[in-house]
Amino acid sequence: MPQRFATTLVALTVLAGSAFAQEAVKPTDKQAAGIAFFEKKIRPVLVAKCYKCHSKASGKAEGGLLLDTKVGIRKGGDSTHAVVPGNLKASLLWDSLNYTDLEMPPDKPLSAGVIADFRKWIEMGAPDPRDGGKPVKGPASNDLWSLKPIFNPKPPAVKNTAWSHDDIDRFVLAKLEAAGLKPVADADKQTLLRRISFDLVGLPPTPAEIKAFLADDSPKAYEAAVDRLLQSPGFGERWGRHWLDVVRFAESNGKDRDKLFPHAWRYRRYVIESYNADKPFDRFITEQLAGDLLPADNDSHRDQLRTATGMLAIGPKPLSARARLQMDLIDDQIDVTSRAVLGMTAACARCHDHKFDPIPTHDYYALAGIFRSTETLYGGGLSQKKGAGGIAPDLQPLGSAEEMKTARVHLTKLAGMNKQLVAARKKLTALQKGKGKKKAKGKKKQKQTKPEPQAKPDQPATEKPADEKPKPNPIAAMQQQIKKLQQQVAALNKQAPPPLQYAMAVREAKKFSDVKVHIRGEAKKLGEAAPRGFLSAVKLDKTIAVDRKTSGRLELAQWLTDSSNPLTARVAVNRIWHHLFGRGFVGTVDNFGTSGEKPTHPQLLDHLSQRFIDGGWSTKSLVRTIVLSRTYRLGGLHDAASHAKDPANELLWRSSRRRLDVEALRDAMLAASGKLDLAPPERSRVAEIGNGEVGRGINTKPLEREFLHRTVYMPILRTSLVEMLALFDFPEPSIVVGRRDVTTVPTQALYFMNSPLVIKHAEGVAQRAIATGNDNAARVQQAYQLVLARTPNQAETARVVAFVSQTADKLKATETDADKRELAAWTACCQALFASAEFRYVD
Amino acid sequence: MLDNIPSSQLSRRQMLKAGSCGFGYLAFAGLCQEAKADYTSPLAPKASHFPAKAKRVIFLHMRGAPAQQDTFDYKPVLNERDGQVGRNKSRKLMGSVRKFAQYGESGRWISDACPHVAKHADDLCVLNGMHTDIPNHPEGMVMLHTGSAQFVRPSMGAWLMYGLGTENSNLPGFVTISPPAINGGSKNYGSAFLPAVYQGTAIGDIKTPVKNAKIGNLKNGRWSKALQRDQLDLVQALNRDRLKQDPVDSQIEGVIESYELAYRMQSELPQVTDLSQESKATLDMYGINQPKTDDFGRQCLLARRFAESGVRYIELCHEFWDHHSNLRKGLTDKCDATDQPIGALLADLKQRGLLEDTLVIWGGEFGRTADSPKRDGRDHNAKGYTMWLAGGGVKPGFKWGDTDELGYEAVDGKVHLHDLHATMLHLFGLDHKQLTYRYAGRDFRLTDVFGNVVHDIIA
Repeated sequence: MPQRFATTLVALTVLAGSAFAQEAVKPTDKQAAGIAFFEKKIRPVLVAKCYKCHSKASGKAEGGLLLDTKVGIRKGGDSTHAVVPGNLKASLLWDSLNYTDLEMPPDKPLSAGVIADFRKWIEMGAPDPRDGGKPVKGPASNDLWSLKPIFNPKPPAVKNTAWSHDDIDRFVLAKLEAAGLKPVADADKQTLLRRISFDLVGLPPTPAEIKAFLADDSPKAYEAAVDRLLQSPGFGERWGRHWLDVVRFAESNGKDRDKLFPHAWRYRRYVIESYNADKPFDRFITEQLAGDLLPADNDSHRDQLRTATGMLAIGPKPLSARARLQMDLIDDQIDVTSRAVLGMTAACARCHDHKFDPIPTHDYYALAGIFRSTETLYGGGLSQKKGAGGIAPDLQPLGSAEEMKTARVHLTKLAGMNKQLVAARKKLTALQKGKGKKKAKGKKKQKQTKPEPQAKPDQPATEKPADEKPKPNPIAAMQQQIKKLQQQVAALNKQAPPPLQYAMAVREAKKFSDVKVHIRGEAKKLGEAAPRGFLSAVKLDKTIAVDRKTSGRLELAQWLTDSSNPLTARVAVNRIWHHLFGRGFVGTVDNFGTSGEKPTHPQLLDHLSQRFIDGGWSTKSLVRTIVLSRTYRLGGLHDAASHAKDPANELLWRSSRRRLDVEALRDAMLAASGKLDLAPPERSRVAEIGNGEVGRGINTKPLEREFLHRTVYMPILRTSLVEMLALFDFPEPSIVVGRRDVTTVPTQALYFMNSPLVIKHAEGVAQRAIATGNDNAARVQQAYQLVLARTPNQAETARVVAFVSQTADKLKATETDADKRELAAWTACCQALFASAEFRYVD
Repeated sequence: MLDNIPSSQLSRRQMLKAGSCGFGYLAFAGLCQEAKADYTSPLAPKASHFPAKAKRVIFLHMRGAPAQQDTFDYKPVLNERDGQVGRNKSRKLMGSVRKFAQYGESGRWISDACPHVAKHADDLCVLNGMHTDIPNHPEGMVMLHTGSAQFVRPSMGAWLMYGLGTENSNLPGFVTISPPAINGGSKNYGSAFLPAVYQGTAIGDIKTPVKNAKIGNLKNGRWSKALQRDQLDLVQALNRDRLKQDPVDSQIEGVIESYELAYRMQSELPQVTDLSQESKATLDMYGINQPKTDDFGRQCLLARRFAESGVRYIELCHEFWDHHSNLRKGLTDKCDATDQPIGALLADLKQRGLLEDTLVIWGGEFGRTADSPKRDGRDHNAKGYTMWLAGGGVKPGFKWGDTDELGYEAVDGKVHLHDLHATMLHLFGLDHKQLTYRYAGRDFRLTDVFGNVVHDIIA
């Protein structure tokens, strides 16, 4: 604890220390008198009443506060300065002694006389001779590598000048040579094609693609394959999913109340489209933070920009804790923004200065002000609010102004009629009641009639069968009127414009304001106000300040994506490298702080970051550059000597084997069986369900229906993940996860052995293999190409053929139909290929 | 081939050898000899920080918050003042709706709603001074399971798995029977940022009688056992080919091992869950096949069978204890459904010598109020409630803590939920401050920055 505390004090102490050192060179008489006052009136009280919990000697620094040094008392604890010389209002100690905010000492207040002494002492400038508090070394920003500006290092000289294709290779090779290692041979063509296909689009190459690639002997064959894949819509589906991991995408709230987010899919579509369009990464970030504040070319462009801000709206929220909801929502927004974009754990500074990184609580609340000046449209809390004209007030309606107007006019008209209908029904009830009363005299209580349900806008009102013969009386007249109104409602509904579309989004709040520091994160203990701003330790080459008449989101986006921001490009490049090599330069991809890992290739990381910025933040260009490098194309050969020196392959002497993630596993099975529907679904299964809450009587039919689209489009419900996703390390969708777990456990094996889905798709592969004809070798080749994307050798073919014929033989006992036996035997064989480690990994 | 040796006593390599029928094993073993980076399953048993008293836990989760005043917290003053105004003018005090009496040598006060559990009064360690943070079901339940209502955190079962691994690698180490889908749903047995392998395996769900619950992918609807073994041999042959190319690749070794374990799990898990192997006397003792007690009786018997097989964390669930009204009948119904099964479970664990190292925990997400705006109901109370423990190294026939005489809040021997978590880990030989996992740049614990081990209740 003392050690940890030491690191928290840090930078402020350094500053404060130097300022005061200058102040107290030679005591004047006035100063001497002040110090005498301190010694007589103040120090004894501090010793008797405060040191027990706030001194080095006691080993306690409650609230991060030490009162036994001048530095400590002036710096204060977690919240703000305890004593500001000459300024009672700014001195938290003063408030605390007066029991206005904190209550100190906690057992009982000091006497009025003693408190008056403190007033005098602070007002006279808080003279304090105690200088025993040595400034403690802590996370000063200039110590942290990731906060230093990106420098553009020259590619190093290498001994083997023939090996490199690109500067990337020179950086890698130089490190290998320095360690006395040599890169292994390049990967063969089939391995490379499978690798690049999974890495770029998350799908295996088709037999036709394999054939074409093997047949193309030109030196540009590989480049052509890369370019084909970069143009495929699968690129956005693959790389968009990587981003969705980082921004904790889901289609329900999770946490204590798992309310559905039936409009979240639009944000997913936006992300995928952005990657396919190769939207510059700086622009991509800007749109997600402040798309609503950017100029739009037309209505659909504006909708797209608004949808982009869904990133800030889709997080998990404590829906049943209203009091905490706003600050927890803001915390989620700070967390996702700081970790996804900056690789900084700023949310750690909610209750105290960051323990390891130079992020004071003040910075946290500076960011919090930006998000509190923002309204988050996430669909509202647990009860569905109705807005004016029937438009949901807690979501962003989409469409042209005209469409919105038409919808509003329609909904308003409908609401008006429904109102009339309700009034008429009330009247009718009253009339019938009156009649009933007359009939049943003496009866005291009438059974309460339930109010008639309102006609819903999307379904025509049902008529009640009138069982009484219409008579010329007020009741009949009223019934007639109701019938007429119902007909009008039905007619109106027939001409209804298409229902309004919504997105989860944010927009500017009605009021812009700063947030006061919440002492220890508590909403009731407020410290000084933190003007809206950014992380103070991250230095740009220019000043960006929040326009006080806005929330500050646009400026936040500008600040994040400024080319001199040392973190944003590095973090983005590191994520890309992580997805292509299985490990980032910085292994802790979401944490570039002191407690994160240091980069294995800092120069290469900076080189690529600069190239990324210079190349207009183009993800596709950077991916292309990397996959064309020789380093990426290395084979996976084992080399005992290299392994002995670098078993984890951190220096990249070979290609590391990687586990396919769950999306690639499932998509590859469906692709192999020919069942995969590559077209994206129109919307989402969760949208089909609509509003509701998981586990509380929602219609689960849409979730149970067979799903043949790519896995990225599967419903993501936070408390109820699809089985295969849960089994194969799908990241927890409530938190930022840039690096997924890779576990290998028996439940995954059981899935491959027994899941009806695996067997079904194995049968699909078997059918395609059998369809090649009667030649067993050709069948094996087809199955191998479909599942493993390569040609089997003779021994492999023989083994599989033997298995199939033996299995077919054994099945004779139970299956009389020879065709069925054959299909079953081939199915069992293809299932074994799916289950193999070769299928589950990419080399 | 493995029938006579408990698998937990086999080394990983022995299992590989035996499990793969020796097929090609020699060549494989030769290749592995040069393997340096050895594969260790994340589920392999791990040493505790200090000697453990408990090896497994059975958590009897009573969702909805049972009323302590009518079960295990005897409040004579409250009973005397029944109908009077208490601390709140708009509410009236409500004495217990059940009769209390003293049981066992320990003289524990227990209500007549729980006659079967009362027989085990001398095994119970009753915590009458429990308190937690939030008297609201969704958050309370998540808090109970993960120690945090505010953030998504790993569940206590996941922490135990992370800390200790599993004793029986043929079974999941963490099972939750009939979990509710609401109030956090799977988060209550999730792993959050801990590796996914530590999450709980759900058996059925609360809406499905456990009789009809199924476990995913344990049965093969298509292949015979013999064909599946042939098929698996083909899979392993393919895998060994890969391993030949790179003999140091622990990942491939891990895949090979996982298939053999899965193969054994297929036969072991259905065996454990097959209650037909139990005698009629046992089924009757648990109240199985009796309409009221059938479901929870089956849950309890399954719990014993899992405990016997070395499953680390077992959770059961019985819901709808939220008696804001209709307490008399409601509480009686709930107790009628659970009391006999729980009594049987305690007796059964004891007669098999399992109780001493099995920690049984009973309780809900919080407790209920002493007063009510209407008669025959109690509202939520997080300030004072009761849970009880048994076995697993806690003091038997013991009571710890008290609420005030009316039962508004815990006043003595207070045990916060964080303290209970810390104590539970302690009984497993784990220091809750040392059991940390680094995520997002800092070390996390089940107890966050809170929790004190309650040494007074440890035997």
